[in-house]
Amino acid sequence: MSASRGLDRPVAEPRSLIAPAWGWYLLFFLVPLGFIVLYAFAMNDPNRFFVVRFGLQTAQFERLWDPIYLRIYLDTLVMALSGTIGCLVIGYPFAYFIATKVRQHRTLLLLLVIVPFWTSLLIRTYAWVIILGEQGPLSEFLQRIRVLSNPLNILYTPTAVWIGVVYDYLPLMVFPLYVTLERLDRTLIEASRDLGEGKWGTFRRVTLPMTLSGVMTGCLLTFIPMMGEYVVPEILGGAKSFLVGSLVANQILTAGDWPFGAALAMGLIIVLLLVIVAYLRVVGRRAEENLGAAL
Amino acid sequence: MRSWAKRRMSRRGVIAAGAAAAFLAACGETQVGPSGSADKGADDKVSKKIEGELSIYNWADYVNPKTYPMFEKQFDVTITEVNYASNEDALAKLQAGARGYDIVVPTGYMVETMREKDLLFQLDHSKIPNLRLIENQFLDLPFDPGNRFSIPKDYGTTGYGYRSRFVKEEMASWEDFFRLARKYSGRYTVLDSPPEVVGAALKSLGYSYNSTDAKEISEASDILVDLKPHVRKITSSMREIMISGEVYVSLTWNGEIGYVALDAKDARYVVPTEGSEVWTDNWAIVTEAPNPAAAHAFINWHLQPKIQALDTEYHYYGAVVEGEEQFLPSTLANDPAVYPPAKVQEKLEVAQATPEWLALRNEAWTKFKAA
Repeated sequence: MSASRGLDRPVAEPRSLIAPAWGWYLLFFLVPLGFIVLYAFAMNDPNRFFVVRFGLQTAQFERLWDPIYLRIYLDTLVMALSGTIGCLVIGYPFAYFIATKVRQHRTLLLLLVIVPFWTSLLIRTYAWVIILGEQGPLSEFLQRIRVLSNPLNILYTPTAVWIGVVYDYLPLMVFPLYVTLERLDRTLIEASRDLGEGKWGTFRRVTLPMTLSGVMTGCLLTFIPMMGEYVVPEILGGAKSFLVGSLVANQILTAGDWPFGAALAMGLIIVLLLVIVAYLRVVGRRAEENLGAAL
Repeated sequence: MRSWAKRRMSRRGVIAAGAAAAFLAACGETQVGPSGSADKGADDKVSKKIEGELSIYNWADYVNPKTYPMFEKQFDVTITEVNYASNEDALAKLQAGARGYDIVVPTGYMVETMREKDLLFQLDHSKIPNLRLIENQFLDLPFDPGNRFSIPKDYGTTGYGYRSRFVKEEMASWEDFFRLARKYSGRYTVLDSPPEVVGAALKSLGYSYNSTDAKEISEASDILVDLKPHVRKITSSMREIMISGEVYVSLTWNGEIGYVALDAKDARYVVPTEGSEVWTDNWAIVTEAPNPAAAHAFINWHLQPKIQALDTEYHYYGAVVEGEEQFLPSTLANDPAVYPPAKVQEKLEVAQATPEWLALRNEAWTKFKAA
């Protein structure tokens, strides 16, 4: 009897199932976000060190329009966009290869993509300092094969930062691409070829449009963390280039200006929200399943 | 303070090891003895018997590792040290309610800030009789009149170091520092700290290290923007890359170059002729210190000339007490990089931080970093 009743009724109320997730988000996402908003409308006391006066001032947001900060946002945008493109250019052929050419070792290859996550990001980033260094292995190798006549000089430049972020976020690009490519109906490609379209034309007019949602998802997943990137520019950029992440950290840790740091963070959140809205517009309903499948 | 890079084994360790035995023997005497005098009543935490654990929240590599065991042995106290990377870092953690630390080591302006936020314990000078050994110039400074909350630990200057093997010119001034950046482009580092770097530019223009004139600060930031393309790295831990020769010139504190010179004999430290900053770092006790009695005892114990000398030998920052020279090798006691001659001292300024002062420097810093 109890068994049949068990089948009729849900085991537990959906609301109680979702409670842990709600609790988690409330405590560790919404509450900190609330603090950011609170601080962004506050001000540092001009006469005392690091004393915050809460209120509803908009002074911090007015400061955001200073050309110097706009430029930092722009620099960050350029870095994140170029990094995303780098991930796409490397990640797409790789995902395509695994999804369509590999039969036996597919799981192994996908597993290998995750292997870097077994080590802390910080350690992997420091490893790049050695690899890219003037006297590092890459520099020695390139000089030995006479590609370079002088030591490699890219450490502590934007190029090194770019290499670092592409390396770090590549897996986040590969997975959503793999998911859409793997699901792609292969008969459509055959149909295109049978009807006389070439390899490149088939890719451009069939494969690419049909995997566009995966492309967009991968770009979103790499672009968002790159916009807030802090570790890589600090370590591989020699802390020389100011991106929004470093600027926020600097305001809070060095300048002791929590209100302005909070306002800068809110500015970043708003920029990212706009990007996400645009993403949802383009990809639409398929976004949900793509994100779900990728994560 | 000041470098948070992990110290690797160096010759310094060997030098200090030999000296330590001699110091250990000499240590029982003097004004330090375990404080048994309970003139304030048994319930007074400060006068409690000195024992148990002592937790020191400090900059990394800022105390000679030989000294802790000496204190532990003498007082039956176990010392643990936890490190932080910047004054603001320490402030943020203490404010967030970090518990269990007895001693913290803030720089001048941070003493003021921590005191305002009730994070510091008012010191009992009767438990620090060695206070009288401190040279007058380091006492009663504006950030803590009467030294009610802080006791100077050591002092140093902000200047720059260069490797004379690579830099052919004799460098002596801030003007040299900024002018030669073009020639040695990509071989410069500067501290990751706004006041020192902005202050250097101000001094090169002949202004006060403490200028709060918007026009002067803006001129200084123009100089820094010009310097930017020649800077390899913005960092406060430049030791390794300067030793390896990857970098020739570093804007930093004297102790850092003292360390570099152990391995790179041609490293020179310059207190620029235009003048620069002189700073002190300070011992302070945390309001909720679990063991203020041991904390007072440690601060007092550390003010002995021979202990100060041991530290100077380790971190290459000047001692604040009188009479430590006799315990130092004469090369170190007469090293103008550690103990600037009177003529140079006249031109040194103590940072006089105010919120406005700091805000102006951070704005200039942002321009420098974004350039």
